[in-house]
Amino acid sequence: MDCGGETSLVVNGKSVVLDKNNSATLAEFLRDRLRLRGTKVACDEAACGACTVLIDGRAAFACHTLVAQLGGSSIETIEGLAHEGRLHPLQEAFVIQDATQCGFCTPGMIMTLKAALDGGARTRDQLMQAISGNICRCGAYLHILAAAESLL
Amino acid sequence: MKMPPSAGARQDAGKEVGQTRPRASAVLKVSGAPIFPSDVHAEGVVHAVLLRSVIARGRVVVFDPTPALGVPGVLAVHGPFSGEQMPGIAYRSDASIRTRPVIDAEVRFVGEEIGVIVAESECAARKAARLVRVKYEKMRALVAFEDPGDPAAPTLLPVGSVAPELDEVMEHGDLRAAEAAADVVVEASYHTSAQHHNPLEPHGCVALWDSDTLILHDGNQGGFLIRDQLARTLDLDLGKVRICSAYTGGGFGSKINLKPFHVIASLMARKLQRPVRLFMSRQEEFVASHHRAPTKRHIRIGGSRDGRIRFVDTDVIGQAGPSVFFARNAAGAVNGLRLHKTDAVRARIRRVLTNTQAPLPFRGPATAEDIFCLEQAVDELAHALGQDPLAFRRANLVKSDLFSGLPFAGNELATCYDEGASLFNWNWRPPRSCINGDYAVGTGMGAAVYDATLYEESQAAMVLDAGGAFRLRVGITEIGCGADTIFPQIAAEELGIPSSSVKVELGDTLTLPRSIDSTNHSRTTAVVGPAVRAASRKLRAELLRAGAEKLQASTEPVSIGPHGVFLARNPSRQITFSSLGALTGGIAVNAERETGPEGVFPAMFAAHFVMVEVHLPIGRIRLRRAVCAHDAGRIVNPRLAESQVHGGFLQGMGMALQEERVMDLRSGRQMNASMWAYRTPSIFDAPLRIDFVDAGGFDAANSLGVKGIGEPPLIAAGAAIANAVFNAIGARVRGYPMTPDRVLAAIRRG
Repeated sequence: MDCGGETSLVVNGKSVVLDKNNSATLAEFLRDRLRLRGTKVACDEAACGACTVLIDGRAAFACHTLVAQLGGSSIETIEGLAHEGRLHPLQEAFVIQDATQCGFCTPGMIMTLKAALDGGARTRDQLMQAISGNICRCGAYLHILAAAESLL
Repeated sequence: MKMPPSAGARQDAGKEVGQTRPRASAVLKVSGAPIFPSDVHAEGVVHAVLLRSVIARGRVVVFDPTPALGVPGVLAVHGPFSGEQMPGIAYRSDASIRTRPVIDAEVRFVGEEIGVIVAESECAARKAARLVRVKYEKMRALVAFEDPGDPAAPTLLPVGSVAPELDEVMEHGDLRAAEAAADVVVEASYHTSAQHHNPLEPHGCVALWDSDTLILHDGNQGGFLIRDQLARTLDLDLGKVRICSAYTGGGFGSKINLKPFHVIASLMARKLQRPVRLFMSRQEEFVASHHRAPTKRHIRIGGSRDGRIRFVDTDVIGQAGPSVFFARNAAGAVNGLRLHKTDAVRARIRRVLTNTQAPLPFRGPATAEDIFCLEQAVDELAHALGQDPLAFRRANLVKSDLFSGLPFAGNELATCYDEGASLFNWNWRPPRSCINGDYAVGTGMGAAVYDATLYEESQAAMVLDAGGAFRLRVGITEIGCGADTIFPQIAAEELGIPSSSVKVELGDTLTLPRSIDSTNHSRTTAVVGPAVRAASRKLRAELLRAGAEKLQASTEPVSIGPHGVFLARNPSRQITFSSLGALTGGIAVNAERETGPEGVFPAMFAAHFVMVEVHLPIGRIRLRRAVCAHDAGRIVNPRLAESQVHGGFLQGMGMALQEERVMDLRSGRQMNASMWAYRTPSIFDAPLRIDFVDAGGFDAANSLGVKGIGEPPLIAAGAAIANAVFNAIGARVRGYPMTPDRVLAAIRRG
């Protein structure tokens, strides 16, 4: 996989090459280099979950992950969730339950919940555990939880 | 997509108004597609980082940027001694009245702006910012606001500012006579802490100049107010300033006004002839993006054995920060005094200038702090008189506004009490009735009123364009409250078409009519809604006229259906909206808001009921359940209103239970300026059920019958929780937030 000073990773199914000396965080790389700005940086201190993306299927804070460490990994962001113009069921459930307010925490919430549901979450408590590190300052938690629960 | 049934949809609901519809921006938001201001990419953009004071009071005497200039990519540094001074902000209509210059040597709180660095990357700018050598001449700072009379603290008023009018007394009725009529008087001291808005999207903007026009991509609560203040500050024509703010990642009051960063970004963009991006770090978000002021108050309240409140006498003191401009946000009492029927009231309010950042409005500004405390005092009085707190409030219903003497435009507080209590299954028991091992469970309630008096003229435009699409054009910023959804519903109701076929355009001061200067005071629906309705009515008349003309039906009645205009007696003869758009080349109408109500006082009401569980060994409070009954006039979209209630309640719960700025009083530095140390509610802090009860109805506040639902859910939350805690443990926690240490101290006091 590694060739000289370069490495590559897969973002939403597409291969991306980067310099191994790249000092950017994953969030910076996604937002500034790939212009995937659905991933939000809110606290930049791994305290709010807004920047959550999936690395090889697991939820991770993109603001505190260095992209150079991710050679060979597969990254999934909010932009990769809809399939052929159709929303993912979790996105659809968010729309139905009015689980968005300002919308800034939404991508991180959805990616976190996707990891939980894909990882086998079966109870409300497991869903709550999953998003316990995601802050929604607008306070849409109960609608967010209702959206995720509708997929159990 | 199938929507859930409209929980709470009332019988008076229309086809659109009163119905749950999906949030217009929801599909974009769940896709990560909206371009928030912090997502804006401008070609050739450079990055600015502010330098901030690390002392609470004094002067910068050395500002040496030499080491910073050596960092690769640094383009410019501007400090307090860098030649031309940047202006102060002209908040008031008289542009000669200014704040401290946005970058200055004089500093009045830790975090105040003393310089800016611009570089090719944000990383370079932050690195360079750390290298600037700054020396200060320190002066004695006044940080604690309990101590306003300190003779060693010199005046903090900036030279050239207006005289302070920081003390205020509100009185009504004969206090002495009312005191004589009281059989029982309770008095106690309460306090509330500084609460940070902490919106997830930090404050910031991208500023760029298109020849002599300044364009700001900015996260705010209303572009027009920012535009007016910025144009006045920089001495530009209004037409030369354009504010674009399609989305804002949370505001809660903090993003209402122009701030120094707007001015600094604009001036650096002009100087460098490059777009400048300037966003706060999370730490800056805490120390320099403002907060709700901490307050202290002493309340005396008296009642008579017949169950009436005789008087309320309050002394309030609030922390006002370093200048008079935002001092009025520091404390208030007016809404608390008008909440219940009394013989007499008095409030003495003092706002103390301090070396801390200024308070800005925070959802229910001044009123939430007031009612959190006052409604505890009312509960204490009910208890002292041996009465059920609900029955006691029910017996002191207010009919007209205390100060204006006007009847309320609508007042369904009694309905809030009745329907809220019914859903909650209110069944009052004395304190400490339910203790099971380490846990005490209690129920409590609290009421709220919030004036709906902040009106302004509003314009809105409706268009049937040449392509046959309906477009509603409103100059507002959508901050997550749902304005993007409810205004199309209001328009669609008037036109008789589905709201999904009305596209809304917002967030641009250049191209859109001025609908509101800023979204605040729970008023956007009530201020802009009637203008939207009026514009839609006008368009409807135009459509009927044009349709009749095209159908050659000058004398026959025509009607509007979901797809076009048709002959009333023969609906098969129809001209579709797309044909009508194409044939007319489009129809556009503008409307102003209908005149406001006269002879009535518009106000929103609420009653909250909560159940808490207190873990006695550690003093930890958890909410089990909340019922939030609101009189918000007619509800346009029940599901979105419920979202507002959830959010408001949870922010009120945060203020009541956990959110607190911690200051080092000697240095004036905030000790918990991070999201790790300042915890806002998480999913585990929220009760698993928050029920919204729509207790309102068509209100005479305006022709739409609407009021607001943004702030009252926060205002009513705190005292209901505190009263439930008292009911659980039999001891009063009179300081907010009711953290475990305060709860344990109250239990020990008994």
